[in-house]
Amino acid sequence: MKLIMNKIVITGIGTISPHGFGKDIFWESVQRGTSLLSQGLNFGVERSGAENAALIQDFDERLFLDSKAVKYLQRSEKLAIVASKLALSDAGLDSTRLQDLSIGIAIGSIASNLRAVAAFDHQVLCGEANYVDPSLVPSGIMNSLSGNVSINNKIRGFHVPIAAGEASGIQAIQFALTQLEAGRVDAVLAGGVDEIYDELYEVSALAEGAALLVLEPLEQAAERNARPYAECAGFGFSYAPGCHANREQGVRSAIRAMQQSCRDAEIDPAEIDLVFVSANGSSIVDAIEIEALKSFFGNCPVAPPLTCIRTELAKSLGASGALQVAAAALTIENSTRAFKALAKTEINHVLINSFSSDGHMSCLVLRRVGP
Amino acid sequence: MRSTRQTQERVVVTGLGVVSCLGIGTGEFWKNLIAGKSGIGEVSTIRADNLRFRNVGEVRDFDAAKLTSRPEALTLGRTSQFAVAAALLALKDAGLHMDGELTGYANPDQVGVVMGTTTGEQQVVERMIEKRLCILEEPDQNISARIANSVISTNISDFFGLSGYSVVLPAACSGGNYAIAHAYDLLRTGRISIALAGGADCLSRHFLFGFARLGALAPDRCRPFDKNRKGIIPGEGAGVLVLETLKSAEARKAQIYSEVLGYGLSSDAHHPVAPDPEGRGAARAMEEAIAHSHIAPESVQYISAHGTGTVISDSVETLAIKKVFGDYAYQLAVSSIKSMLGHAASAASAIEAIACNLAIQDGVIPPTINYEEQDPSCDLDYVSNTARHTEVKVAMNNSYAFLGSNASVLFGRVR
Repeated sequence: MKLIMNKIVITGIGTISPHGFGKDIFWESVQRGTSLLSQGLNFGVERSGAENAALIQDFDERLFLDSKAVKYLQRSEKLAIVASKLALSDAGLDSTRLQDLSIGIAIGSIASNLRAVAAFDHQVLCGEANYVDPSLVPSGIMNSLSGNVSINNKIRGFHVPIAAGEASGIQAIQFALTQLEAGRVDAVLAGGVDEIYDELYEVSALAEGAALLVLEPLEQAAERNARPYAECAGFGFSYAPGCHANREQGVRSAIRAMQQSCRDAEIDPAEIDLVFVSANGSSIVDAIEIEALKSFFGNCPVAPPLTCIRTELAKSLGASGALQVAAAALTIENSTRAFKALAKTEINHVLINSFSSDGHMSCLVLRRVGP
Repeated sequence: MRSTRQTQERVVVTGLGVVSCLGIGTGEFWKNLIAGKSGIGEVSTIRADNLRFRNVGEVRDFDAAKLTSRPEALTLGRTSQFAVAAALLALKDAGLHMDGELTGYANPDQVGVVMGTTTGEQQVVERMIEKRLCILEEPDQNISARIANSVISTNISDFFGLSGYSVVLPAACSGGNYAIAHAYDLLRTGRISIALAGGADCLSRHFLFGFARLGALAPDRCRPFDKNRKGIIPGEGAGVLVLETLKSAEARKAQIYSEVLGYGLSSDAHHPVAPDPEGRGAARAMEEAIAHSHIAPESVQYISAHGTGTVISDSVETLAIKKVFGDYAYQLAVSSIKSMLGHAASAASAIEAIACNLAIQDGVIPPTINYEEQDPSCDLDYVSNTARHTEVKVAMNNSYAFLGSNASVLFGRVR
């Protein structure tokens, strides 16, 4: 059974990342392929194992948020709200239009509540429980990202956070697709947001970012003259229990997710023109992905080229999958040769893999929207 | 709004698993619930120095080793232990787990896990903060694997070797209902054939001190809808339901508790902690649940209320129920089992879903205990203090979370 029966398209893209503010700068930077890592940054790196980080520069939240929001919200909440405004504006959904549509919100994140939780608990442990900032209470709960987007934009459909490791952002898109398929809402803001957390460190590089996309039925987009970047043609998901110890299971699950996404899109793997690989950064998961790709495309006359914005972006945690989808949608729309290793002039189908260290295997096929 | 349906598959509940302060396993839980017992007592499992009000719904003497001999279960955080235990109980109850392994009816590639949580492995996080990570001698590459909210479902998937789908919806107090809703949708796509759906949460400083800081903590007991209610009593636990299509359940002759008739989701878009005082979001969630279930509002006999025991929330929920059901609201039985369990966050909406299923099966509605005096703004039938023996064909489970997240799920006897 297909997960996606109707044509659901991306009509708005809002990104904030070390690439820059907004999708145009994001797209230019992604095409250039420059490394965005900076060394020795003062974000608590001395307490972590991370030596490199890619941070969002020049993010002036006051352009979009009132003074109360600037004062009381956490960084990830601000990123989510601003990304939502960029996406909605890009989709041509101003505040009046928003009230005519039922819109849902699904935002993936690994641990967006961590900073607020740490700040709150620190004060409690120091005996200052009666003086702690009350705004840290709701900010310490992961639905504060989607909830603040809902409050700030006055969006009254569902709002839900998604937690699926580094696949959180793309799983948010999957949640959106099931809701749109069921006709529950008219459109969904879906994607991922994560910031760098002092308490959450790894020895590889880290990045922060936010990517929210507006998804809606193609018919509706056409009715309101909205430009569709690409169609969400197929989605595949699987889970690899204990993949760190069981590589074979990991490969099997990854292949199944890719197969499902192509079956859902009703295409053969040979019709994939480009793959945005997950490039998780973990040696085990990267090895799983390589083996799965070789097996999945093994019978194709020509294997599709592989690319990944994360070679520049490093690990942007819950936002990474959504940033990849944004880049893929822009690739389809622009279909230029600017990307490294492109073999074809026109991109019709792009496969985006989002494989997480904890075993989530998710894949999305984007398709060029025909005339 | 479009009303395209993917399939017409009907989804039913075939297994229940609960870990709560009123008991572990549905037998003990339900016996205590309908007896109107309180599971509330003084907090003991977390460090809560200087906390003035210390009554909680704590799962006492929980020992995962009593449920499974597998040692890896004991290394998990508290929330995951609850979740895995509840999942095991639910799978056994559904006849899908016997003699230490999944039965042939459960193809691991086709089993999905969808769990709600509010703060995930919060006790692990708080221990980390206590120890101040900077003093660790070597960086720990797996910290995200232990504290990320996704572990609540991945630990279940890993424990049982399930490879269909795994996700956590940390939708706070609505998480359990959101999980059931999402599992319902996925089953109707045919992409999975069995789903474990529910919620799990543990007590934490964030929960206790957070509600205390907001002035929402009750000093002694939870009194939903009572005129003298003073706030919530924090709780913990886990509830997991086994969902599958009716065809699948009938084919393997599974017991069926109820059918998931439909659900409704909405947002208040109002305030981070206070609900919309007019109850519009809560009403919309109930209305959508009724509309998508294709039933008349008068088909509902019982509402398992969110009923936290706070002044505003209980009044708003009552107002919303009246908006949706009109005069029929006064014929409904509405009860809040948080009066006995405390507020177990995401686990609450899952445990309350379990109570709805047992109410349908046994024809008994659990009471709202600690109800002594009527509040004019809360004038419905709250099944005060004593369980009621009456047929329940359709039950609604309401849940409302911080940041204005509302979810209502309808369960009905299989027609």
